Amino acid sequence: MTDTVKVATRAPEALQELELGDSFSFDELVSAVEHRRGRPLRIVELADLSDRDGICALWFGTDAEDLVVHTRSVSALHRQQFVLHELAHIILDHGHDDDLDGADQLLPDIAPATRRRLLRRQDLVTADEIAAESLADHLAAAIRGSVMHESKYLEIFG
Amino acid sequence: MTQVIVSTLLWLLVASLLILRRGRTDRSILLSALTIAVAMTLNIDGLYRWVDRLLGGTNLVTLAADLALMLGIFFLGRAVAKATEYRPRIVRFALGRVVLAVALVCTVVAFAFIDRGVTTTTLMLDFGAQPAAAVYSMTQFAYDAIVLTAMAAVTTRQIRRGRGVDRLPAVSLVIGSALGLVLAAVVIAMDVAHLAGNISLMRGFGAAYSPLFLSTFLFLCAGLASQPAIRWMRARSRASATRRLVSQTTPIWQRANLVRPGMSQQDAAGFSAADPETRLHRQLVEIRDAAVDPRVSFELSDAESVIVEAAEEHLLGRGAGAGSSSSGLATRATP
Repeated sequence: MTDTVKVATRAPEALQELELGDSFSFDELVSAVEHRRGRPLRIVELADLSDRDGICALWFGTDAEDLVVHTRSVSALHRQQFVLHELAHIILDHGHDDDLDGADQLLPDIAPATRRRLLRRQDLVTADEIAAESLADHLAAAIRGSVMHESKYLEIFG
Repeated sequence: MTQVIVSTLLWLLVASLLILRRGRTDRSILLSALTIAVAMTLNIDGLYRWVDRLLGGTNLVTLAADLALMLGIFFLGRAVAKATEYRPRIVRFALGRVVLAVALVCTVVAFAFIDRGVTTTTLMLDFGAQPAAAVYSMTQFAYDAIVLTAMAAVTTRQIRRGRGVDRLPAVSLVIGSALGLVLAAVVIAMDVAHLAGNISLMRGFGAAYSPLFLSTFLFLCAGLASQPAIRWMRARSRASATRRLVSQTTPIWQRANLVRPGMSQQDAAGFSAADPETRLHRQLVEIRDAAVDPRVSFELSDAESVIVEAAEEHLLGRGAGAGSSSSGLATRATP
């Protein structure tokens, strides 16, 4: 199997593994990720994050929690994509082999010992970044689906 | 004639559900409509006589049709139960398999005790004075009344939640359920009057039977068919808006990709632009990525901003005619 095919097919498989169905709300997705990881997930906005080389968001996991930090954006859809991209990294279990040097500059107050993994949405050039962005697109589509379904009533009668 | 009209209505409902709910996972309403359509068709006089003669001429077709009707009502109840988040134990029990099983057993046993004679299309008028026939009829209509009460409660909640034209199907279902409840009460009153030997009272109630029967199914079918029809029209309207927004944002996206190539330009991503919503989403993300990246020079004009914002509102479900957004991020992630 080529790398192209691998990256393209990983997202639908990961989406299936979440067992949330074809459509779900953002909150349901966060709950599913928290349940899967067995730890809380915090999402925090950091206004000046993008001043650093165009970084939109980053995720770092500690033993106690997962933290997603994203930059400020006037666009709710863009903001959602930042977070979904980081959630995709978590779902795809990325970040085992990452060099954490960059994290020292971004988050100097976090001790390396407490920081397990760190990934950031910046340039989408590596296989992991492309896979995460692709899964984020799928997650966004599923969230759009939940907007269309609106309620259980319309799911059954509509 | 009433049976022919009702059967036609139900088969039209089945056809519309097959078309408008194509690809949907939940089949409760389709199963319900299909089973009730079979029940009503079996009650058309000519067909009834023909099939009953094949089965020995002892009115077994009445039992088959009525059991099919109860099964159809059960599927309807199951749909109602799935459609509401508010499900107290008593409602779950009433709409569950145990009550159906008890009702089916009571119906079959009561039917077995009716001295039924030969094929007749007016079984209850001919034999309704027998206690077994009264129990047979009352059991079915009591079960129907339970499900229709739940249906009325759920659809009333939906009327309060909906707005504009969205309310019409639920209003139709509430009216249909209410008429069905009156019909059940009228039938039970006819059974009691017949059992008591008060034929004039029974005929008095009987005058309301056909109009109630017809109007119940008319409103229920209209409600069940119009809900997916409205949804289908809304989906078509949304698809058309999506295609328009894709063409409006494409020049902006192409300009953004010149300064900051996005994931859609990566071969490894295997990005497919076949679905217009997926394509619009990707284009918007890449436009916004370019706009916030301090390493590149990319700005949106006022006119472009209006287009991009309209497209984002559309995708988030906040555009005209769309429901509220379920992204949930605004409350979780922003201060």
